[in-house]
Amino acid sequence: MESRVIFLKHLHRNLLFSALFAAVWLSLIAMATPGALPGVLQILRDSLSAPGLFLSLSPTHPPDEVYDALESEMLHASGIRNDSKELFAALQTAQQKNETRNYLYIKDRDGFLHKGNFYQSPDGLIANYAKSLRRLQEQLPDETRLLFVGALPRYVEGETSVYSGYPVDRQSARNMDALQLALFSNGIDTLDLRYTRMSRMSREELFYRTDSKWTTQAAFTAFQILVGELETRYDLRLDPDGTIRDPSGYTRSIFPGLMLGDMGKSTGAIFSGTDDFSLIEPNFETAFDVESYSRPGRVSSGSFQEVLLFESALNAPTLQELKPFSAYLGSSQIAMRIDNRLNRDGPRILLIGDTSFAPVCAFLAPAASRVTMVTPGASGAPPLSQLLEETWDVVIVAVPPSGASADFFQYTDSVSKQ
Amino acid sequence: MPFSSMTFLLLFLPCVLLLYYLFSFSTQLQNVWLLAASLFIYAAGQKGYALLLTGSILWNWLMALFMERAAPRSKKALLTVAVIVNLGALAACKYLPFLGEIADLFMSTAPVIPHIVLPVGLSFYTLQAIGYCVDVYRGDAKAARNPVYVGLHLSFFPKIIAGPLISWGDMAAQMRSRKFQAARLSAGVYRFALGLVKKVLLGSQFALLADNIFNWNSMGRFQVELPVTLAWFGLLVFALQIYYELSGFTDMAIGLAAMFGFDLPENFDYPYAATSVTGFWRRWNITLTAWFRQYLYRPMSGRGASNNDITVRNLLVVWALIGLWHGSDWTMLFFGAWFFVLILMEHFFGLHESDRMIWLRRIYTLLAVLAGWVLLRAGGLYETGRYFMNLAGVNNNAFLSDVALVLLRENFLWIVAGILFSLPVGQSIEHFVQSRDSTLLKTACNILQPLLLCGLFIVSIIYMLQGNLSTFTYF
Repeated sequence: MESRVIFLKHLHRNLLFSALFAAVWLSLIAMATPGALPGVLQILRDSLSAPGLFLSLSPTHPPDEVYDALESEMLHASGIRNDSKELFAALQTAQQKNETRNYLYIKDRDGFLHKGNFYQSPDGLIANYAKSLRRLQEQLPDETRLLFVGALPRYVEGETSVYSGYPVDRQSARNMDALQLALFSNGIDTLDLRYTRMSRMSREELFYRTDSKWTTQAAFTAFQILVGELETRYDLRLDPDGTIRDPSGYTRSIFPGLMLGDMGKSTGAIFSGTDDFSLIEPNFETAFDVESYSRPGRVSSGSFQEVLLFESALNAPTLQELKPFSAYLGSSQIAMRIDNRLNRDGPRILLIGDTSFAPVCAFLAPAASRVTMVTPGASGAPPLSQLLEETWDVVIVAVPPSGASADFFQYTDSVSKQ
Repeated sequence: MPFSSMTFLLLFLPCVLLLYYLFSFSTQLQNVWLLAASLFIYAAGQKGYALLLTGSILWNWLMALFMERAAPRSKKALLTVAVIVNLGALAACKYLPFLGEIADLFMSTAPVIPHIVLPVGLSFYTLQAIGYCVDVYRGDAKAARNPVYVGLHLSFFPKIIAGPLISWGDMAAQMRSRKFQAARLSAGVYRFALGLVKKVLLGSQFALLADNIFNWNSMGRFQVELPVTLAWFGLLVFALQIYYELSGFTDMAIGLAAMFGFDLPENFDYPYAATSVTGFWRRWNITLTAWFRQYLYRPMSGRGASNNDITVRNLLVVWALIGLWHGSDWTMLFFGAWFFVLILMEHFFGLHESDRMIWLRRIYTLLAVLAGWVLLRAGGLYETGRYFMNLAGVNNNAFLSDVALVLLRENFLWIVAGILFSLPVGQSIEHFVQSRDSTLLKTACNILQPLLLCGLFIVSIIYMLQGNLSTFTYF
């Protein structure tokens, strides 16, 4: 009885709210259901036609199966999740937050996004990574060199201006220190880009604010340093007269505000802001044959701009859909062979690298006769043992601190286990 | 299926509501539809266990019918069998690993215990089922001839996951006859939205913070120990989390039930404003403690004169079981024991009846409850011990933590709102407005309140869409 009195007591308030609620609710239903309905009906049809929905009593059966499928369909197929991303970013910004998504991403004083890490624990597998590379080195013929290239960390202790107390991922840089040390003790050649002239570059030159990868300019500088090191250490004739490394041989185009990196895509542009994307392309003559391992037999031939640059990555209706970094080699999952038709006798390079090394691979292509790049885990990536059947002058394993993980080294480890 | 999901909000709820009101010409048909929808929603969330729920419905329906017709002597036997089977299902699904752990202490070879996923809502609908059988046994209510009534009583989707518990008599009356009232429907909508906002914007956000801190406590021995200030902050946000998750859920359940014409009892009454632990449990999960009082404590006390020994024994049994109801491990026994000791102390010293030193008593109650929450959340006796040591700063841990300041800064708005609205502040504002003669003020409130809630509802939807929710369960 009492509750009925309460119902009447707030009648006007409740009726007004119900009208507002109905308007919001019906709008949401109208937005979500047309996109999601076909998938939802399919899931329901499958569930109801299978006898398991009501009749199976399996204690070990994973719970929430139908619900999970439905919820995923409602969130993703309807498109409302993506549509609301910027609203969420606006709410976070309005609260003057420097973190988002439960400390998954943290913004520093200069507006650079960092990955968060509440529990900074050392990677206990670092010794195994080093051993896997040693085993790989032992399997290589004497004339093939193995070089590990460690890229720069996004967070540098004492330099990156993070607000006090924010649990920014500091561990990746420490793990890279430990990895370099372990590699050194295992007799692996290393190139630590932190101790090259790249350390003098500003953070704006090195990193995008919104992306976990380095800038095209940083990748170009890394390419210059790498070529120099390969020539000095292994006497490889990649660029004897220095023309390929000469910046004046390249055109640099800047696309203002075009870059919303992987972290920015997750947080929303209102929270992260956007970056300018710079595209560096050679203006000297180039000619390549390119074959992707996921589509064997389909060889594309043409210049740097025709086969290694994918300008389509710079054209999309929304920032969320744009993938400017994929302008180099066209994908974040790379397994491809690049043959240089203008330098058939040059060195042959196998690059096992993180996606951030895609531009480095593209810049290396004019200097080598063949560059094969594989990102571990890429679809269609051949087993490493298959790649090692070819003759290589140098095998480069390249990774930024945040990418040095068991998933990455599983690929290099696979060959030593065969 | 959580109420704070897009599937429920945009798919099931509109379908269930639409068909429910299309069947307005027949209450029976509406009941059948609600039962079908409840079973479907349950099956979609945890598909294998719908059979267990259906079995429980049929079992309790039959046993109550037999009991009603049986001679007094066999009535008791039937009730015993009914209760044993209900508890057996609960024990098999919830307590088998714990029983195995106990057996392991006394046996040379450890028994092999199969891993069983706990069916959602089992703890709640088992209590409802036992309550139904006991009510019929006592003659307090008549057994249902129609299994749809028992089915709906046990599986009604607004309340099956986390209550509130309702007696068979109250539910049966509403199932037999209820009328459409626009006032009730609109009140239900308001209450549901309020619950959703509490769950999504407060409960879930506090849960993310508490998880980070309690996980840190568990991992601390491998890294840096949890600083004192962060430990206290974690405990505060967990206290807020558990309140807003549960009271938000209750609001949603009451609101949803009202949309279908049912009145469910209130389950929370500003428990953190209590001035004793006894008072706290009279305001926290009210229907659960009432169930234990009605179906366990009172029958154990009997009709004869009670003495202190019997009171102690009864309280111990009740609180051990309340502890175990919250979870199946040793920590939960300690959880029950902790509150048993406090309530016993208050009972004998009459602390819960005193009106003196209200603020001091509030602080004592809050600290006592917070200590209980450590047991509930820490994840084991060892972790509980570590958390207490971290709270006291005797674990080689630092005192100050800049992380605590960051968490406070980042969530300041929600934490302030969380603390304020866990106390009867809203109620006081409303009393103030209602006691004024100003029609303008009342009208402004009647307009602003729905607008504010609507805005918060939209914000909640955005948070839900971005998946910024916890998956907390209380039982």
